[in-house]
Amino acid sequence: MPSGETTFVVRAPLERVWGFLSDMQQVGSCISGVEEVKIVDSATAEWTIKQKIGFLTKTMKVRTQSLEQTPPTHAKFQGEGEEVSMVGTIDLVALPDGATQVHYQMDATAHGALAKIMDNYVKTKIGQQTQEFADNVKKKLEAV
Amino acid sequence: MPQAVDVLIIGGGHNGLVAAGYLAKAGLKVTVLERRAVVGGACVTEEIHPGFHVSSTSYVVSMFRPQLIRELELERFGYRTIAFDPQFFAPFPDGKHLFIWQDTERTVQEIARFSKRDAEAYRRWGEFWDGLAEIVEPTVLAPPPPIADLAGMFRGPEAEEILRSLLLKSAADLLDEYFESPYVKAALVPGAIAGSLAGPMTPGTAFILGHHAFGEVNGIRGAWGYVVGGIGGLTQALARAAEHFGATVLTGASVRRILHRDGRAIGVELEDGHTWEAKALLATTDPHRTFLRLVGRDALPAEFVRGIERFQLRGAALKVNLALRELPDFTALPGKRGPQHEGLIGLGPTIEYIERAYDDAKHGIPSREPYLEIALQSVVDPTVAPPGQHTCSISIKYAPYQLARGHWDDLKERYGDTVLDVFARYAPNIREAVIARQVVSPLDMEREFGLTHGDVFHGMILPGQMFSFRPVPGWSQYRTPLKGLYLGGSGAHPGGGILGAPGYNAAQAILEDWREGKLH
Repeated sequence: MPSGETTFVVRAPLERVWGFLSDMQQVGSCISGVEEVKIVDSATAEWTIKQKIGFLTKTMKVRTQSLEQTPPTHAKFQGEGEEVSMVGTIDLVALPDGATQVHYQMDATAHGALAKIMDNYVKTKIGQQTQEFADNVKKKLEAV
Repeated sequence: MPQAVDVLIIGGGHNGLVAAGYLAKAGLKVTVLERRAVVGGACVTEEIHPGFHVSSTSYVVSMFRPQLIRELELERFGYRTIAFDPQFFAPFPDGKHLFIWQDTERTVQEIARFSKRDAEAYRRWGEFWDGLAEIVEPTVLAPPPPIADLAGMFRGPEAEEILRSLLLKSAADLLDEYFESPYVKAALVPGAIAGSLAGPMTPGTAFILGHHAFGEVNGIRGAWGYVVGGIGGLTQALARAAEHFGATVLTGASVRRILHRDGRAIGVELEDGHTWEAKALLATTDPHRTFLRLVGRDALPAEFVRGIERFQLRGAALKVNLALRELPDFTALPGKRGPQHEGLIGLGPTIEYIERAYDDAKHGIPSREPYLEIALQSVVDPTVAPPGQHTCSISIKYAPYQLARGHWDDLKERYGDTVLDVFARYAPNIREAVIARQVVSPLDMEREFGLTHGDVFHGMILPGQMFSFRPVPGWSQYRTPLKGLYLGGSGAHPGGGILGAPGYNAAQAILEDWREGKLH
């Protein structure tokens, strides 16, 4: 199963980082390739993900649900689509200087006839996507 | 009393050794049976004259998967590569020459000497293949999906056009769409004719260009390189890795037939009469040899046999390997030693020239004016030749296995002279430079290296024989109609070339069946 993880520091207090990352709309907006986030209810969202593979573009719909929330430090969510499943976890630690350390992990599994190929593709991209998530979170939270 | 193991691997070429490494690493008792006295199959270094070590058949790497290098720890077992630069040197009979460098911008400047328009087009050409590589690469270390599902990824007019180009166009047509200069086209076409009895104008040869486009050497995308010590350095490292993980590698162990009972493969009988039993057999021999000779038609469903018989193996390459006292001095770029000697060198002035060479071959005539691809490995890897002297590996297109007249054993040395005549037109000193010569005909490739019809790819790599079509529709997942027998050589997806992927994928299929209890 392709898996990516990263630990990074955001120059913002824990509560603010938690407020941001426990919001499905905000989390979705930081995941690369997510073009649209539709909130279904307080714990469910539908992401439209557009992935570019070489010169091919693939659009997938993934229904995302919050699985666990332990405010203000831990959240786990899962996404289910026709061609891909994913599970993400976010863990926060308040640092003495007022910043927050974020640990983010994402596991993804492809389904269907092209599953093994898509898994291989995701393997090559998940590290970069995890890093982009970190960069996007920092950019949004540290901009203000 | 037969000896018994979990998995027997028939053939100690790169695919067999990759599979041995992975299966042994997973804890299975594995034995590799190699017919020759050295491991490596068609991926071997041999001494043709004291001190001169040449890559007898295959000679450069790019497509061997980095994941395999990492997971089998090949560098720890001596595997080293050199990504040569320039990648390609094309001297022309009119005195012009062209280099293809690793660096795109440097090549763009080079091409601009011939055509400003082509220089710009070269960037788009590179982007096209990079984009394709991103799609193709994930398909390599995985069983092939049904071709319809794969084609289904290409949605929309632009993607459909790309699919059409790849599957149906000739390399010449595709090059015509990008470039105007015959020099540039001649320098970019050779990848399309590697290892196949097909001309640059044959529909489907654009696909062969793609087949060679997703490699890397030492992390340099798209690069080709030498294995230090010759191509056998790869298979030696693979053998050491497999043994380290617990496999046994036997040489001089020639399999006469695959033993089977009640529709299940149970072992092998060697030429010396010894028998081996195994729960699984992995044949890395080509599909014709495996099914039509080692198993036998009677043990297989008639429809499958027909499919294997239709699977085309058509060798078209001949090798001339030389020991040289000095390097060729090219009229188009004179000099005793320079960048022109470092990478691959192509002697074929136009696409039309190469197509005419193919015209001869399709009628069973060795090309009267052949295309030569030359590698002077000792220039960048001094370990393969005595100081100040050099090795030279020449791959010739086309030398058809099936001759209209004559026999390769009678013909090959004379044909070696023809090759040197062509070479001498570009580098007049070559004849005097030769100390020793080895000619490997397609028939030698069959007899010595076990390549049926001299087909180095274990089956043509045109689109009709790739992905889920390889080797037979319905049997592309490494399993065969004989339970317990798997196919993991270049006749399986993703095909020929030094990839190691068929061996890896077949090993994964065996492990999957093993874990599910299907082999106990």
